[in-house]
Amino acid sequence: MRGPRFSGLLRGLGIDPKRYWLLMDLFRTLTERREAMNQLGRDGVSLKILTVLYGFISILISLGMVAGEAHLRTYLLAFLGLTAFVLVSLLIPEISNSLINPVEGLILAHQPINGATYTGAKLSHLVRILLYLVPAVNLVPALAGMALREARWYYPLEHMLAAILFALMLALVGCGIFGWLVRFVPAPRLRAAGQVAEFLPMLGLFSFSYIGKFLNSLRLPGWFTGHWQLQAGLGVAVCGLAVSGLRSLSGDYLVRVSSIVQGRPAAKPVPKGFRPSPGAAGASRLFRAFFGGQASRAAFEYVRRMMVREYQFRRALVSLLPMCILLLAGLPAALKVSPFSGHFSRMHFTPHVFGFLLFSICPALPYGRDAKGVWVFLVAPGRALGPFARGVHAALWLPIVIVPHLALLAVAAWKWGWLDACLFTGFSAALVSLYLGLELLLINGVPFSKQLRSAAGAFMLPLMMVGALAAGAMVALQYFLVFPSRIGVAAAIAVFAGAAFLVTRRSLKSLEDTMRFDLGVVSSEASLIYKEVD
Amino acid sequence: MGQPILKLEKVIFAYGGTEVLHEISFSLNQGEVVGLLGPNGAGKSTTIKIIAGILSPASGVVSVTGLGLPDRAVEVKQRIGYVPETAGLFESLTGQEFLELVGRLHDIDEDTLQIRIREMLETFGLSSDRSSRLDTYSKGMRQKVLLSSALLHNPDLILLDEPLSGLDVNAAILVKDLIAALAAAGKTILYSSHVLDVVERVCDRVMIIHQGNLIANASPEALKASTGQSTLEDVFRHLTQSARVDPSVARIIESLRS
Repeated sequence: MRGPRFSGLLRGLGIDPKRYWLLMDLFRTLTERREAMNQLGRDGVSLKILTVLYGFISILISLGMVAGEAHLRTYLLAFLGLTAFVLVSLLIPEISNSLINPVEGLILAHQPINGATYTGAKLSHLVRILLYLVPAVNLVPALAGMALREARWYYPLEHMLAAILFALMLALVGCGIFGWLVRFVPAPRLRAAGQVAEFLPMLGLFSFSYIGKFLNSLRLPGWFTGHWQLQAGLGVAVCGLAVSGLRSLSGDYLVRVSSIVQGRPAAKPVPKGFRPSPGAAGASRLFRAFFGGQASRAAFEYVRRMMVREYQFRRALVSLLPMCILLLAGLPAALKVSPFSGHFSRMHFTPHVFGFLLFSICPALPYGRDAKGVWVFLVAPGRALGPFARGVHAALWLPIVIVPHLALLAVAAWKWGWLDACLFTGFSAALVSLYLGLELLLINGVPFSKQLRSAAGAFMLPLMMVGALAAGAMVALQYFLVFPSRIGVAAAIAVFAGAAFLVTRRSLKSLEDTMRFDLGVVSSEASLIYKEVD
Repeated sequence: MGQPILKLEKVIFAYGGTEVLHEISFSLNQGEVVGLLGPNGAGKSTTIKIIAGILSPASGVVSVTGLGLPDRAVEVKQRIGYVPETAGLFESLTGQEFLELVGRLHDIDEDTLQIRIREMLETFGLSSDRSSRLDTYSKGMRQKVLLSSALLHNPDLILLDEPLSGLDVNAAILVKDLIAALAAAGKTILYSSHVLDVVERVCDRVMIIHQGNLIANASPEALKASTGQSTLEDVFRHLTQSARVDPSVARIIESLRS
């Protein structure tokens, strides 16, 4: 690969071969030494686990479709769809992370490296993801497709070729879109725009059936497929978009992306007459009464704000956004049937969806971009960790459990009447509180104090599948055993609320111990922060 | 003084709609050591980052040794040595590995590179730590690595943004002597610092930026004479209209008592 032929190819693309290989060696070294852990394509272990996992899922689907004697066209489209689903969920976040992450930009921006060389080195690992995942999803199904009635002897070749071309197209379009973002979106808004670009394709895939219905209602597909010129034009437009986006990355990309953190407006004078907000003292008193004083409030404010502002945390959870949006969109229809009506209501899923949401949030909570800020907790009094843990719990419980359930109570009371609304909301809130109590055990350190692992978000999709199965089982149990009787629901509320109280108390003690241990490890490794001047 | 090495003409920089630099213009000649002063947030580091090719100005002309930015950015960066304000380093690399990376990115011949790295590390007293990872280095040691990496490729223009930050007394003296020696060797140095007495001692000329405007550009003696002040610190306070600190200190002590 380092020979003259490949170097010639690189030069043709505007890439300086010598600096390209220097950067490739640098990125490999950083990954080996666990400094750059947020790139899946360079984390061989996580990539191999995902390959096996998706390979297994695709074999199951393939066997099911072959046994069901699916049409060849449907079979191929199903696996192209699965390829799109896997790549959109893994490749798009990876492209975003590679292109809109200015960490290396901060160190390398003033070095003599052109944009094409830097982008080329940054994106090379995406090829590795394609090389692993496209065969994982398609190789066995391509061979198994031979068993279908309409398949010819060369079907595996057709299938693999279609999958590879489709995957390459997706990757190029993904890079192209981010190239356009880097070119046209102002630096301060680039990260937010990147996150929107990450979750929109996923939202599109989740709501595919709605989009299909909408297009059918417009009679667009028939009109479109009847005019090959339109199809060719669309293809050319997509290619043009991808190419021009990629060209944007080869210019002053390194400078633009490092501007995300380099530029800052000049210091503004503090307005005269500045006073703390009048509600601050009242909020403090409330916290002292319910959650344990100023240390608790510190944790509440810290976690609440960081959950919104911490870029890596938001990225880790971006794949949940489409699910939340679709659930909210489906809420009016779900509210039409009361869970006490004797008919099945989709509202039965509510507590388990919240439980899954918290299940995704809690393990992601200890990781963040500014992990070195952990020194703040090292110099805080040790006795503050207990109330601090309670504040962390409050930061999750109040906005994710209590506030949505209060809103739900108001809407449900309007639809079903106060009694049913109170019973259902109480049941759901108690069960979610129990889930949260258990899931606090998944927080393995001080919030936002550790460097993010590469595959933290990559396993979200398989987890969602397992979570959906578990939720289905729980829903069946509550539908058949609890909800036939209102007294049964009231008893379940008491049981779940009591269990939530006891479990949460135990989990908070455990969280306090975990944070203490975590800080102990950090303080014994002073180099994780920095050594003061000798 | 020699030929102009650096030229800025009517440079404007805006960040998120806020204009940070307002039509800054100045030039640096070969062999000059020029101090860049200003309060926090005045635009000193932004100016240096624009010259280093890290930030692109909204308008105006920036040229280094006659090469315009951003069009000739790669060539300009080969002629610049930059010590950033915050020490961004790849923490898992060793000091030796980081310097090798920078040297190779600048395409320095390998034999020459190894000789220069050895000289730098010995001069800065880092030889025994050359194989230690940078995350084990102290703040001062990291600063020495940054200084070494900025000089490794023998640049024409050296941009120093708070270079003495974290250095011990001996290393600070070494850097001050080094600046004088580099200037004598024909290097041009733009030196941003808050340590005014050092700036006064090592710089031929001082520029003061205040709220994004260049409000002074002359030798320390000329500035003192024109403002009627006895020290550079007084000149700085006079020109930036900084309030006396005594009342502020009293307010802090009073708030601690409440």
